[in-house]
Amino acid sequence: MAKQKSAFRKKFGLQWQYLLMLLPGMIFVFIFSYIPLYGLVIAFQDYNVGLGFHSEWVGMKNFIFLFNQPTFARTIRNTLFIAIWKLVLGIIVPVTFALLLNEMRSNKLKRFYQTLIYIPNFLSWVIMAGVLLDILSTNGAVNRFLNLIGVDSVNFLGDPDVFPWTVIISDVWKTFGYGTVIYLAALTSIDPGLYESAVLDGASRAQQVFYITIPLLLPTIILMTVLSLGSILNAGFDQIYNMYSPVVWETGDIIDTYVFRLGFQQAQYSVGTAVGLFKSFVSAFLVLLSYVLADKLAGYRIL
Amino acid sequence: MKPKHSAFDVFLTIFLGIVSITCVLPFVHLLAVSFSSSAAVSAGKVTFLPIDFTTASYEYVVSGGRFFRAMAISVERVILGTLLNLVLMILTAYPLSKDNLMGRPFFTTYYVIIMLVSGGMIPTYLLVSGLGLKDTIWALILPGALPVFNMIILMNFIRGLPYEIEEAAWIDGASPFQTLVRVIFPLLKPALATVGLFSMVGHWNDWFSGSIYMSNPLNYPLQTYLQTLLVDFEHLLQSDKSGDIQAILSKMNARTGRAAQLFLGALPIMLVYPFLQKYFTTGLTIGSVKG
Amino acid sequence: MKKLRKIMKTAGAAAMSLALVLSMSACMVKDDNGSKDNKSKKTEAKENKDDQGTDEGKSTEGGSDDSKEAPDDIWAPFDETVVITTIGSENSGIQFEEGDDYGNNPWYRAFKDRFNVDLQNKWISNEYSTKLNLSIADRDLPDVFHVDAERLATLQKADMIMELDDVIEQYGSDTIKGYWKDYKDIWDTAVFDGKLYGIPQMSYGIIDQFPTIWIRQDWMEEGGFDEPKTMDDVLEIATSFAEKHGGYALAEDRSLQNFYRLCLSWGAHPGIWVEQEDGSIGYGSVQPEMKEALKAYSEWYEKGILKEDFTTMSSEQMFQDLIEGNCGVTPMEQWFGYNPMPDVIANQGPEAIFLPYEIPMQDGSEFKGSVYFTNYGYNVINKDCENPEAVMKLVNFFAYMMDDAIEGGESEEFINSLYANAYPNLVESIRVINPMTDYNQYVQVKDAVDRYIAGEEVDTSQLGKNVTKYLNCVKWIDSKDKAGIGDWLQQGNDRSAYGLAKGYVDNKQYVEDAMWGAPTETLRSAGSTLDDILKEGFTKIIIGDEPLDYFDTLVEQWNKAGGETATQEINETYGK
Repeated sequence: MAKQKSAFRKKFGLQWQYLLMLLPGMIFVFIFSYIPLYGLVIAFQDYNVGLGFHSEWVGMKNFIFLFNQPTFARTIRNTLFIAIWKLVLGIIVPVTFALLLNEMRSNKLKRFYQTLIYIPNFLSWVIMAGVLLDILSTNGAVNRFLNLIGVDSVNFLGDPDVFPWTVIISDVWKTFGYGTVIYLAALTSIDPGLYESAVLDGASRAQQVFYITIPLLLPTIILMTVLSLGSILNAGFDQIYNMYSPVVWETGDIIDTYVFRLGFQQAQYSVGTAVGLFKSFVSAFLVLLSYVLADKLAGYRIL
Repeated sequence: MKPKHSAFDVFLTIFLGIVSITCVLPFVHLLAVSFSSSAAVSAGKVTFLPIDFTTASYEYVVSGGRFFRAMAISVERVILGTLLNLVLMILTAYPLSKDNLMGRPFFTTYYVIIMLVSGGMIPTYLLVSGLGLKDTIWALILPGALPVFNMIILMNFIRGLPYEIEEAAWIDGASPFQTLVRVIFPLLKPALATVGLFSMVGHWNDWFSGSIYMSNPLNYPLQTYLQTLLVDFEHLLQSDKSGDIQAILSKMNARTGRAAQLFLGALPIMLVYPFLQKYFTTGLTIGSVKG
Repeated sequence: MKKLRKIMKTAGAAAMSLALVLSMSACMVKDDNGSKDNKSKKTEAKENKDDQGTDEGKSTEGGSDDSKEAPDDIWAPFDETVVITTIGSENSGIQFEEGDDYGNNPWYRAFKDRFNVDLQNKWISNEYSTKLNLSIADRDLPDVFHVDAERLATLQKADMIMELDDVIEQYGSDTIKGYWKDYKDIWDTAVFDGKLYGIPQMSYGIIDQFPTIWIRQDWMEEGGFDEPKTMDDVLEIATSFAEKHGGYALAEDRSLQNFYRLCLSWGAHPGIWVEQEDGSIGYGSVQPEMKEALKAYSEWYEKGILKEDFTTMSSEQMFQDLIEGNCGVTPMEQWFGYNPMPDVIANQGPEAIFLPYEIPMQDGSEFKGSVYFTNYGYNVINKDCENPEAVMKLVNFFAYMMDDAIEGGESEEFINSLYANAYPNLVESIRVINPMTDYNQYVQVKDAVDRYIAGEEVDTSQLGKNVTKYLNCVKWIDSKDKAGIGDWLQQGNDRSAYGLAKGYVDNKQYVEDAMWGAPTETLRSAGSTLDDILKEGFTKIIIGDEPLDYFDTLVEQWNKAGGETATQEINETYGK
């Protein structure tokens, strides 16, 4: 560390070069992201496209309207439930899968499996949902298989108790390939010498995993988690919109699907913007929280 | 010492194999549909094997002409867009990876804020229109010129690089620019392959900006064009009915054609992926070394 | 279909309870002749033909194009090309001929040839309303374009569109003026402060709004059933199908659309606003009749008449059951023959056609349908447009081609070139539709088909744009070609959807939506949520998750969520 600092001090006079590098990105972001922020004012207006940003000022009315909707509370509950489980399983499953793949002896097969599991990431939810609705219906392929092995049919899409899990598991199934690839990459960078000396100390395969692999994987896990925390209120509009039905609104309706139905008939930009702003505040809080937690608990800095 | 194949290894191979194969079943289904007759498809007979094998859908896609034009536009966008993304990401991530960069907290806050809030579609549109970018490919590329999320991934990667390499360059008197170009850049390959793929997929799959910034449907990128084919039946009924019936009919029977187009639409990215995958595994160490 | 209607209701939506009240005065003065029958149309057609004759004479003299000139000159071309800009929505149903595209097609060429008007597209988008909103915000609008009621009100308020009374008075054809007179109730929805700001496109009419019960014929014959007279007959037929052929009795999907259609049997009118006995207006979906319908439907579900997991099925999946022969009875709309019938036939053979039957009323009374206010939107002219008379020429031309082309002596070939390939969608921004179109079409096609079957000669040139429908029916008659089944079941067959519906229209067997115009404010902001609350509750009652009396709780919830306010608004705006 000391060495690093002294070297930097020597180069301090060249800071302007760093700033110059930052400049193009700053300019682009300023123009295309910061300037349009003035549009957020419509969250506090009764927006009318004809009047534009000079529409009637209504204060918090849009937020009050939203919070007073009888079903708003349940959509928050559903959103958090689905999003948190997606987040948790979205860590456990790819990490487990990466660990298992890492244990495989055949490198060729490993690469092949890795390619296969990454593929669903390329498919949109519209298509994926089409296939899932087909195979998960009460007489679909999955239930036929369950019946075959003596299990009763499960109403994956129509039972309010089951539906959130259908959503969570199918999402994890679709996206775990991405996480697996990342974790696997992190795994390959672990110094093989550590394992060799562990073997010399008589450590079993399982012990190696728990005492070497997982601790060394932790920073990557934390990074991935923190990066996904910011989007926790996006429980997956495309997916749920294409899979849900009125019977499961009770447990499956999330903020985004709800707002979409609310504003479906005409573009209710004001309410939409209000929701976006609300989500931004919650996300900002969560990101800050996770940033602090990562720093405190794991001594790891994201930014 | 040669490892023995234990029962555990066999189990592992089979178990992981099954899970992996379930991941491609939707694709197989799509492919089977695209090669089946429309009657068999609408009767729900097609699962993973084509029924009444026909290549009619693919012939239809090719004969239309619009598909390839749209694809060419998409390719142009992906190339230009990804290059711009990469350049800006590198230029931003490198200085930000330096802990004692002057005003670093300001810069990170600057980017984090914009990751969390956005002004929405209307002001962005007015801006793009005001800058005269409408109907040019730049309208699809410039608004997202710097993907902040991916930039942060890249920044963490750079932080994880062995410090000694850079230091050696400085001792030789290299300026930050020279260090970036000669020393850091070559080391970034695996990370760039990753964030580059994200950029490519993002550009390739985005359909919405095409439909609002392009005045002529002939200039739509591929996904926007595909989106127009995915209009569902009820929507079509709404647009008009009398005199449109033949069209609706042909539409309903175009489910197989749709599958063919979707498959062709996803194919280029899938083909690129295995080549980039090599880099993923050669040591993408995002954040695995503390900064 | 209900969803479709809903969308249309919205398309006909306007933010103008105030404007409506104001327009009442105008209404009273002008509403002397509101007859919607065919006679007035016929005479108009004649007048129009005369117009056409004189115009041709004038145009050779090189008639003047200036606005203040004689109004009988409206069919003449301009001396110098006039450029008019417009916008449009991308429609993948349009099948372009070689060389045609959105900017160059038979319609646009006809405008150039006949009027020397060069119609140009500023943009074509598959996200029309989004793109339109953006263009409005950008103040970058074309000369003429197509908007929904809400945008109409917005643009009027923002002073961005032209007032049209004088323009139509001076340059509108007699056909257009006739529409204004005959369908004043619809036109009045575009009136603000006594002035007209948009030309309503109207619709193809109400004949397409009547649901029927479709029953599979080969199975019906096999069981030796007669036409069902009561709902019990329907159930008997349906359950016998299920017993004999496996599957289940009555088709339904998660949208509950079939249930809403059958509600008519109990005298309930879900989805529309209905005048109650005490004279006030109430929402059809929350009236006591609905409870009766729900009672029966939940009993059916319990008995296994409906599919166990219909609540998760999309309409496409429901169709799949019909296609696979798992179900032979379904309440449905007039388009059933177009989708999914062709696929049913492809899989089950041409004997497996479904035919429509009247929904029997529980009390044995005469069937009464629900009729919505339909208007596909409004054509508006930009305030800065320099040649509104040129726009009117195009509007006149569309209406002329729609209604009077045969009388006007247009060639069959020319008419076909405009109507083939779903081309009318290209000119959405200037179209105006005669609300009797579908009705007249049915009468014409049915007559031609009958004559064909009787072996008489049919002069197809007299059928104009309806010739495709006729030829499709002939295809079905001659070779059971499935491409013809849709038109055959909609209009060609003796028992057809429009055949039944024509009777309902003629005898006025329907209840009109009391909200005859734009939805009120609460409905615009919360209408879909309100319907969602009901749909969710109805589903629970039907599948037995909640008892029948939950209906009352549901109505309470609905009232609290805005239903009560909406009812008040409707009564204030539309009540007597």
